Amino acid sequence: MEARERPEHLLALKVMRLTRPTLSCPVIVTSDSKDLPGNLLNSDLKNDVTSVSGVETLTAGQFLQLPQSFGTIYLGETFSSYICVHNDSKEIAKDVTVKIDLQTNSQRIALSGHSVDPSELKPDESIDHVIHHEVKEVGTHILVCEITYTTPDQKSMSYRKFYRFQVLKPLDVKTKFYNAESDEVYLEAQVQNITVGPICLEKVALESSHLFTVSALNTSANGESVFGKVNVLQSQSSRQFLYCLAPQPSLTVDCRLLSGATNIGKLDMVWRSNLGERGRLQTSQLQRMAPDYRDIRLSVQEVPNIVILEEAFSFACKIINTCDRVLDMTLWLEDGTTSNSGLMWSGVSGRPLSRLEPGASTLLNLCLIPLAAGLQIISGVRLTDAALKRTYDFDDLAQVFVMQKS
Amino acid sequence: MNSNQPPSLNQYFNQDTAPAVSGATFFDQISSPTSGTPIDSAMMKSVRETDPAQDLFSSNVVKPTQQNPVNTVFSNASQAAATHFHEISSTGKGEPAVCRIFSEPESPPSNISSGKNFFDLISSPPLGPTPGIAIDLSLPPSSSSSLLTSPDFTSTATEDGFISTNSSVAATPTATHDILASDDSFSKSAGFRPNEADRRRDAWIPSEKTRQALIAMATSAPGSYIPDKDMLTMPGVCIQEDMTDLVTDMVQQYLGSEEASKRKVLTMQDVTQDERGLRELIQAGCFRAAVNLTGRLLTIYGQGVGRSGKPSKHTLHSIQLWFTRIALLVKLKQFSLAETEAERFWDFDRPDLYFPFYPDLYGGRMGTLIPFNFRLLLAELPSHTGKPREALNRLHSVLATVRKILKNLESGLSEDGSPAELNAADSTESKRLWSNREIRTLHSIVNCSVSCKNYSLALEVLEQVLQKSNELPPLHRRALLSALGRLHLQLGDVVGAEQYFLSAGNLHKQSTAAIDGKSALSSNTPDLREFIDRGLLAVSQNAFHEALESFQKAADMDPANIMVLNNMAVCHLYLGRLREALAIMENALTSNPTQGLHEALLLNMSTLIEFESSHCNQKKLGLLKMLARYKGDGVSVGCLKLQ
Repeated sequence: MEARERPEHLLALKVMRLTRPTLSCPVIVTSDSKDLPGNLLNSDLKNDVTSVSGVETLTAGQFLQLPQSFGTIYLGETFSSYICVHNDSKEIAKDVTVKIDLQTNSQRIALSGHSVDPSELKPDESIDHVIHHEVKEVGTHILVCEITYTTPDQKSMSYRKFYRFQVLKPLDVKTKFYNAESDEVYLEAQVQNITVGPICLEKVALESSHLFTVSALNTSANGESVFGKVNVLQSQSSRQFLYCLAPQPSLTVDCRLLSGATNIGKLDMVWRSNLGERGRLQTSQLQRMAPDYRDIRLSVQEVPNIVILEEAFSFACKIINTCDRVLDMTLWLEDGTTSNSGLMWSGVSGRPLSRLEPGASTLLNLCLIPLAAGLQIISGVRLTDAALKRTYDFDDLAQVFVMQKS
Repeated sequence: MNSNQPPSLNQYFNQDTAPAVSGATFFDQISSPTSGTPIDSAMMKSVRETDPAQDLFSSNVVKPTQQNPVNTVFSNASQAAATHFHEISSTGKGEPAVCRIFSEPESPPSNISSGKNFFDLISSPPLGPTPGIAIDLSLPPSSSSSLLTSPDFTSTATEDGFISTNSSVAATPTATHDILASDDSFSKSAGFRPNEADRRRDAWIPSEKTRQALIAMATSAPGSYIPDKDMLTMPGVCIQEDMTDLVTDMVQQYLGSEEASKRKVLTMQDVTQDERGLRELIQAGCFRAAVNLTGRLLTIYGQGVGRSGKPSKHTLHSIQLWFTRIALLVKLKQFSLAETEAERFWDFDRPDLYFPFYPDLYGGRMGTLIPFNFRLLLAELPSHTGKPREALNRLHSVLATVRKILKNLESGLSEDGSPAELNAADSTESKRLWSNREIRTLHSIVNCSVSCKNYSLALEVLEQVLQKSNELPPLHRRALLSALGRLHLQLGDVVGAEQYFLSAGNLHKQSTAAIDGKSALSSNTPDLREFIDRGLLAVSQNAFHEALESFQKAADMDPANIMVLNNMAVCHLYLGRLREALAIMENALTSNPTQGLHEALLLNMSTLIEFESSHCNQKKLGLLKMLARYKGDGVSVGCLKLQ
């Protein structure tokens, strides 16, 4: 500190990072009044300035303690610093300017005005600045402070100081997309805390693009968070967030528009750590893999979850012509396509369907009989295109759970 | 003794600093010719002035700075290892001193009412009015007479008990809800025969193995049962040399011997060599001298330096000395020392820690010699030495036994599960005592979870405590709600904190409304607690102006409150007003030096002083002088960060 100053300078520069203070509390030692120390330990605790009256035996303090180390700084947090220029000498420094810049790997950001008011510093006076800057880059940052002033004998003096720090990544985000049969898109986002301490994820929200409306699926039916009562994420732990994105009605009319809708949106995250130290990050635009609908799309419209063994049930689906040709198709129903399927089709196989214009659709109501209990997969719908003599297979359409009649 | 906690400072920082990961993020990593500041601070250290043309990023010389060059002042005598023994005969040269000690008339310090004295533990005989039975055999014979003549004895007599009951219960309606005072209320609150109070307080459930040993002991002919050596506790003092007063050393080093000779501080030699002297030292804040005295007194019991692992006999008195000793070491933050010395005690499940082990000494008395708070203290201890999991295990084992005792009481049994006819009042009193102990244990679990930043556990357990305190007055519930709020703030859940502060405030409004007879809405004048909570909430929202306003209002209500003044000062700093901050702190300190000369405030002040000027040592030496003038040897000098 002072030793690092060139002695001939009149002004000393000091910089302190202002992270949030901590709450100090005493070491708690108590005794019964019948014990040897009597009430001495208890009254010592009560009189301690850091203990809290009424709950002396809890370490939930209220005494603000200044940070005692630089700590760590993460992308998205705000770097705050107190910059103090103090006149240590017995002379008056004139035309004082303090210039504070932040040099990152890619740019240089000016953090403070270049002239100071008043520009004269008498002995033992100081210039106090608190600067704030939201860090938007990881890696090495250097705070550059430049002081210039004029000594009483009209000599122009200046010096610079450099303070280096590393900005680390706080969160790790992994995403997965599922394109549902219903045209909805499900986004699963795994957010991992890669800071050194626990954090509170104050907000994790998906800001969808204009193509979708989003609903978050992270609360239970009565509105409670699925992550439990305490909103805290330990270091290295992760949380899985789930979002459902429904395409705008204008998109669902046309499959080609729908498959072109790949921009999902951005994930916006706000977290807080010690005493509310806040950070905010936003992902870049998330992209999904566009679904490929081929020439014909079959979408499930209605299927029961649970069916009774040996009782027929119906299954509704929609067939959409997604190609440019007019389609004349025949419907075939095959049993036992997947190994040991416990479902049998009931109905006419090989019947022609009505002609489908490009973009048009038709509803099909099919009937199945479950012959085995357990989870069964509906498969085996085949459509043959009369013009091209091509067969389109539709397997793994849906699942039903077959139960015995109780 | 390992020295992984050299200066007391490090321990300090372990507690409250934001985790400082790898040194790579510290500014002082950057090569600096004069590095080696003993203490980290948020103060940034600059890179040497470089040529502007030079590439800033290539000058990335990482020279790990030696952290904490050990200041010799800090290393204290207690670091000595127990490698060679000073064989001290337990009765030999110690005896004359003891005789003198115990024959001195008891005149306890003013704030300890005589009824709470330690001696009435011994002087309340289990077998009727003849006090002579409870003679502590390990003490020299002359001591017994002083026990009997101790004025305390009369105060435990039944008649007095009745009188004190009526007055104290009526006068302190809140006492029963105050954990700290819990024992008080129970000891005063009824005219039970003293042995009932003893039974309640000393009850504990030993493990099966220990129970069998005690049964074997009781059923065999007197003197014929010799327990296995590894069934014995066998503690011994490990600190070879006496602890010295670091403040005097520091004054000597920085201000010279003339200034040092001005310091008046009690030492072991200045007080009577007994627990009265011990209390005198504790009262004066001379914890180190008190530790030294316990060491000397334990030597008389054959448990002095080097006696660890050698058989010795326990008495209520020796156990209390151990409790006091370990408690003070913990208060001094000498955690690893405390751990080493207490190693032989945990888990307090040896037969020689139970009264039935000493039939001729405590004939017929049941339960354990171990004070409940000693048990808690040792259970918590590993959380201070980086083993929070171990501490949580210990605390939960204590909790399990406390709950078993409560269950026994519920089923009409005595505390340890033996069938007994407890009268209704006795049973109620015991339930209250053990419920309080359960809550105190839960508090310790919360503290331990907070210290390892397991906030989910801390909050879950504290919620349990809140549920249990449903019948308690709003004042107490409110303090708990507010504590829950502050824990939320600590973990960063500002929204959660706000809700708890709100319910705490509402509870306050309701209770004041009930008193005033007004509707809850009309009486919404916030009080001190509410302003402090608001202030802390504002701090967490980075709104230091609002925070300052709240703390200012709190200060208007309680202008002498050092915590509030400190918080105001901190707000000033974050608003860029270093001078105001320092002025407020200095003011707080001079207006109430005994309370204000606290490690936490001094640490804040030293940080600001360092920041303010390059010539900081002058002011710090001023603080040192104040410490020397007002404080005992129990204060930490590390917080001054003298260089």
